[in-house]
Amino acid sequence: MRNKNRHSGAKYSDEHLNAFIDNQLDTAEKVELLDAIRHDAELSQRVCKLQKLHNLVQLSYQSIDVPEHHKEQNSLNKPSKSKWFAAASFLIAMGSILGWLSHQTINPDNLIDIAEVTHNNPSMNNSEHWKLMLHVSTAKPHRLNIVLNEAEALLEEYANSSRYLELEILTNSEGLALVTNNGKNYTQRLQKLQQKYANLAVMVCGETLERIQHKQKKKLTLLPNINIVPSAINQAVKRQRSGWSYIRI
Amino acid sequence: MNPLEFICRSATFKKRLTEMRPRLYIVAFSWCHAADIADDLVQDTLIKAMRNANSLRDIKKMNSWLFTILSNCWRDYLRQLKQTEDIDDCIFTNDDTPEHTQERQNITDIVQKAVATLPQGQRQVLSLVDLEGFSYAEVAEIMGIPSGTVMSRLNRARKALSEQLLELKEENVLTNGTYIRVVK
Repeated sequence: MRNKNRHSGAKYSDEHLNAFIDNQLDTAEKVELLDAIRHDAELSQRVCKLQKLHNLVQLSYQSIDVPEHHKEQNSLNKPSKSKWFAAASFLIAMGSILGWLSHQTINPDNLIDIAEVTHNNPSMNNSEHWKLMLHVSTAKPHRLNIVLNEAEALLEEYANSSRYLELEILTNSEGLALVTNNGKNYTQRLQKLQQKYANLAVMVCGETLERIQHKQKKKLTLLPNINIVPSAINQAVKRQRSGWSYIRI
Repeated sequence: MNPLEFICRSATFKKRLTEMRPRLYIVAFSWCHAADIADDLVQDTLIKAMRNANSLRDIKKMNSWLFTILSNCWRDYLRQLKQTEDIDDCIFTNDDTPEHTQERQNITDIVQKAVATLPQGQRQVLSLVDLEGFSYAEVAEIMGIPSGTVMSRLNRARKALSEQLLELKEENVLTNGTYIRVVK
């Protein structure tokens, strides 16, 4: 995968960098490449470029309208009532056994565990002004709470230091739950954070909003002080280009 | 396989199949860029998966198994298409219709359009890696090609996309119509 020149970033072929982006390298190879990236701006740019492409492709297909009949709530073939009864009895029995056997549910509990894409801007690492975008596209309460935990911890840490943090939470797709489900625990937490920290901005994808409103044939009520951006992808790319670190959940 | 294992496996199989439907659709769409064809491909995949459920030995490999079936369905579709027209002449989303030209040219459109212009082998590899996060070895197994070919196709695909997307002028991609408004 690599060329022979061992003293410059040029020794790393595009295939090798692709393998790094796609998490196909072993730990030793990753460490070596990360070290090289730190010392070689050109190599760092090549990696950033590939990561941006990867993000672009991923995000571009996230907003595709999947036909209703392919969505998860549709069962493949509906069982008869007797089958339901048999299945329910079986599940109750199995549930009791499993409930007895299982002591706790395993849930990931930090941001990195649940992150699907991360993109750190190396030039910002030692900066006094750190810009971070958290892109949320899930409605799972556990994950939303993790995002808020991390956001709260970061905002608090930076508030007590001389450094400045600019934090933006971008929501699209199912992530709109964070800004529309008024009354939920996580929306209340978000509102409190917004009131406390002026350096926290919350964005919502206009395209998703429009699509949901069109589908539900009613206007969605957003929490106060939410910025609507035309497109989440647009916003994410724009931020990454202007030096923001980016984490998608 | 004992009866309990059989029941559990059957329930898991159906649950996973249902869960995978949207994901299969998105990948199918990224290959053909046409909603009706993607819909047919997923339906065919589900039917074949249910008919051949017994050939799935390890339920943990169900995801790559399903995408292998989808890939085969796509290949069959292209083969069928080839009987009537040359696949090289077949453009999926670049037909400029009046409706299309009136569409808002946002990044999603631009990226999807760029992906649609890739040769279908490169497009397949790219979406399996970028959208589904399969490893190169898994993609090689799904498509029945060597891992080296997966890497070179992916590299060519990203190079072509890079030329089309990252070289675009800033104002075309980002600032065109970008604005922020606040809801109070």
